[in-house]
Amino acid sequence: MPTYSPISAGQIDEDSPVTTALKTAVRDNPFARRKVSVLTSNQVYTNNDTVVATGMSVSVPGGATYRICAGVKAATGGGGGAAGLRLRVVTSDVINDVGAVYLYGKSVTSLHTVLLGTLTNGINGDVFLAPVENGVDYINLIEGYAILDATPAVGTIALWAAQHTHDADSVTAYAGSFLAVYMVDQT
Amino acid sequence: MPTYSAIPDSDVDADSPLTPELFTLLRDNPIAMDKIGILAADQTYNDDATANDTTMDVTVVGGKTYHVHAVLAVTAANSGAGIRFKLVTPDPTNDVGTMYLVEVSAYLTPSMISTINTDHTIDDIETAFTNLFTIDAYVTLDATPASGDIELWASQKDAHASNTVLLAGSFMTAMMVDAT
Repeated sequence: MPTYSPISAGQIDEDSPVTTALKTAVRDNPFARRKVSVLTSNQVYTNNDTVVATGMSVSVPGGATYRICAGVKAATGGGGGAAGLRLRVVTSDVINDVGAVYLYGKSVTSLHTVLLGTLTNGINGDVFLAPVENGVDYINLIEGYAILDATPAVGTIALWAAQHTHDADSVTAYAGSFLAVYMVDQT
Repeated sequence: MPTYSAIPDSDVDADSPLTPELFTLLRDNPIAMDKIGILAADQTYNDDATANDTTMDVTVVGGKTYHVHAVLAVTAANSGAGIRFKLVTPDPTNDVGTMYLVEVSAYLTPSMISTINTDHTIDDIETAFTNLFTIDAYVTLDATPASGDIELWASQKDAHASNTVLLAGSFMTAMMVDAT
């Protein structure tokens, strides 16, 4: 499947040969600049400490800026508490990659509008949606951006999750949740 | 407007000619990968049935995955009226995907998640102001048909015989993405 391949100025100057690699990159790069990853099975979180991989991850080139969109359906396990969801947009270079992520979360009985992070390095940090009602579904729409350091040359953008809880209830993220990223020009 | 057409490997190997047809596709495909449908005039719904009115549509190619995004403005004439949405794809049996809907306004209308090609029912649209909804979905289309429409259908979910109006300016986009 298509992988983004940067095209250098030397490859497209007047005297450069029109190679298979050049033509393939010109054909595939527009498609390879946007990726989506879909959660294919339900994930149950009982870990109230550290976010863990969710199965939603895309491979992207470093040194570029990305728009991030995601939708996550989640539910608490029930009982009398008020468990919540902990999310983190994870990139390959947690020190040098920067970005911000916003989340709009809503359940069937009340409104949660939660700002996940607006500061530099808002990515790669935990953000919370809590509390939420037990036993009801709620959804999260996520918008953000990430500016990746040039190293590594090929990295990942992933959405990780965990339980954020006031009691012992688990949180389930449902299959059908998705993460989409688009390479964009920041200039 | 440009239509997306796959370019086979045999057309981009080192010995293949640089034809006008190839250059046309290389020029147009990046544009044709993204589509937008715009609601040009207010749509009024008063049928309390399944979502059966095509509101907006975009033409896409089969065998690809799309991220669908829409923003909708909705009003209700009287309290108690609701609205139904359905994201319809060319092959409801074999196309797969999930649709999310969030109401941006402050009224406590439920948000939705459901499969595509299924009605989403929203009760009690607030009458005091225009209600905004955002929809995000990903859709993976079966290879057959080779081309078809992704459509957003709507109708009234009615408790009190009130009309529900979807206002002009609403739009939907479908962006081809790599799901591998």
